Amino acid sequence: MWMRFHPSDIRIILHFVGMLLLGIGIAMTVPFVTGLVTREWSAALDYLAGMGVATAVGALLMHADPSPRQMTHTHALAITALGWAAAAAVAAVPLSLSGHYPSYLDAAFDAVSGLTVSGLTVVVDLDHMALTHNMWRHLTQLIGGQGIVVAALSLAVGLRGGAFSLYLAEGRDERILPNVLHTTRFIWVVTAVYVTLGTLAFLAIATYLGMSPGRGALHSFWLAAAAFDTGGFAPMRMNLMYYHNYLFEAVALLLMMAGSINFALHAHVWRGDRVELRKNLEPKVLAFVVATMSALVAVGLTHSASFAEPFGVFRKGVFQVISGHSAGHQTVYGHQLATDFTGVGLIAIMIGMAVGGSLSSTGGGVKALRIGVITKSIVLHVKQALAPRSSAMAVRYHHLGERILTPEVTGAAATVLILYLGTYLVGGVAGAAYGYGAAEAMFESISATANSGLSIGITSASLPAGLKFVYMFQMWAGRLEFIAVLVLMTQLALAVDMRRLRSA
Amino acid sequence: MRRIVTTVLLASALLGAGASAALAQFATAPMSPAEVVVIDRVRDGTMITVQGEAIGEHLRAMGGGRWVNILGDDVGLGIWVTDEMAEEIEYFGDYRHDGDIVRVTGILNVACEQHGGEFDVHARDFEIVERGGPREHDIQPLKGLIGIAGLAVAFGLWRHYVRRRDRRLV
Repeated sequence: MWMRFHPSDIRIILHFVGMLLLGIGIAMTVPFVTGLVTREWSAALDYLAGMGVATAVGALLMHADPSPRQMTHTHALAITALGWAAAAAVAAVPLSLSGHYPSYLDAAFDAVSGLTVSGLTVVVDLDHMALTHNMWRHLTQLIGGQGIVVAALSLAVGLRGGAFSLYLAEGRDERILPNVLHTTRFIWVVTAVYVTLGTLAFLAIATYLGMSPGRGALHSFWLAAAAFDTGGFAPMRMNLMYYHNYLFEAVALLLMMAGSINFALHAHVWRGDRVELRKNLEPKVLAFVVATMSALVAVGLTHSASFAEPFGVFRKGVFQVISGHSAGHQTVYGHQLATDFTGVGLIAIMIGMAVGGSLSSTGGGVKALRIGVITKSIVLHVKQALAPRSSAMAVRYHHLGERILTPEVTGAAATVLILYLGTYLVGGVAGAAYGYGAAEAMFESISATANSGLSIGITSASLPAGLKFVYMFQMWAGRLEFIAVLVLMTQLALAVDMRRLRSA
Repeated sequence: MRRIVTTVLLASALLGAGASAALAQFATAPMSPAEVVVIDRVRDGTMITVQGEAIGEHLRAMGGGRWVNILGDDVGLGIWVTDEMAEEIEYFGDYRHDGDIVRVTGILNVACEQHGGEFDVHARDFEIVERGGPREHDIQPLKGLIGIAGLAVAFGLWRHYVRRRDRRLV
């Protein structure tokens, strides 16, 4: 028997979605002020319009239930799924007015990509875009990286209970501190520290490169936010290639690695518990996958006639592997991924993207811990097959303490793995159906679902509208790890089904 | 016989001249950055001519020289130039400016050994084809009106919401 939403449930959901939209409208004051300060009047007006639309729709939706009762776990899942979609819809309004997107769909594509920290973009003529619009594009990654619900939770705006359900619904698995509000605030503190340090490091290099202080500071802040939040947006079309500097790439690499680490592990390290970093299964899996894929990419690049020098192989190869796991910043052209990386390098990057980062991090993908857990489960099954029938066996793993591998943990990890693999495949088939090569279509599909953001060259404004919808769905579902989206879709299907029954 | 030989020689000379002129045009016909990044790898290390809009700013290159990034067909390409070449550029493309259109002839490197694997062009010849200039942006008051109207509606709805909420709580 399926649980159906009653009208009262829908009113609660709409109320909280309205609150999130109000928050998005308030967040637009940052680019609006940027526009005023930089005297980009036309762009500033785009944000005034955006603020008007977002706050009016948000305030209207809040009237659906002025004093909602406590939300349930199911409400939280639906609020999260619908909230992200609605937030992207209003975040796209000023972008669509910018003149850099041929249609509202294109602007919505970038808004979804920004909020889900994917980094795929269909923007046109980015190099002539206003600083104001770039501020918003990167701000969507900063907000989305922590989670828009986490952002609302950290302000504890009008939430009566259900906070932990909302926190979990956004694809996070662990409560770092006993109080969920303290947890969300801790996430913001960690982010603020890394983004500040990253901005200062980038700014020092930008100054050396000869960039003007204002432009250098803005680029530095945007890139630090995009790299730590594993977003991958950049203010220039060439992404990190624009700066032609390996120190710049090294800073981005460190930020992307930090962003891929579980916030709970950050908390342990901050408390001085280095043992956890050494014993935890998650970073071990991540390090293993990165090392293996880097070696494979190096093999691929050395097969190519163009890459003869070891430093170039290391600089371009390792960067793209780690970037594939996390932000999706590019230091090579999409065409180079398809040609110069050769087959083995391309497959290695795809595996890296598919695995992704850690649980409760800003990264996407299946996540390293789930890969570790499933691997341990396979080992357990082999051991059991070899051992006498009477023997009882258990496998332990270390993740924020010693844990015993239970069928429930393995089952949950396997479910998410299957959902990711299925979505990778469906998106790949969709791309191929539109006439793209199988490898290219799979690459872009994995990148969208895993919120990686690397592009082999398929994603652009000329992407067919149908495929834009497919990738937007993949980015949205992948960011929320499917369950919240499936709950929302099930409820919509049940609502349609109920109407049919009534009319019959 | 002499006439035939003369005719053949003349025809050959004309054909040769035409062919070399065509080849010369092919060799110097400027490509756009979008064409360069998908270029056949057999042309790695050869001389090419590329044309595009200078964007952003010129940046210091480690080991000397400057980087100028040019844009064409919405694809950027890094050009390694001398300090003097970089100084010739007056306008770089950004929100407020159209950048100078530059034509560069230089060596293409798919993975430059001098610059740590960069995909770049080392300029030998550098020419400003067209000067850029300021860009105009129309201010559309309608956007402002929509914004102000939306904010006013939101404010009204918010106040009404607070009253409804407080009434229910009481």
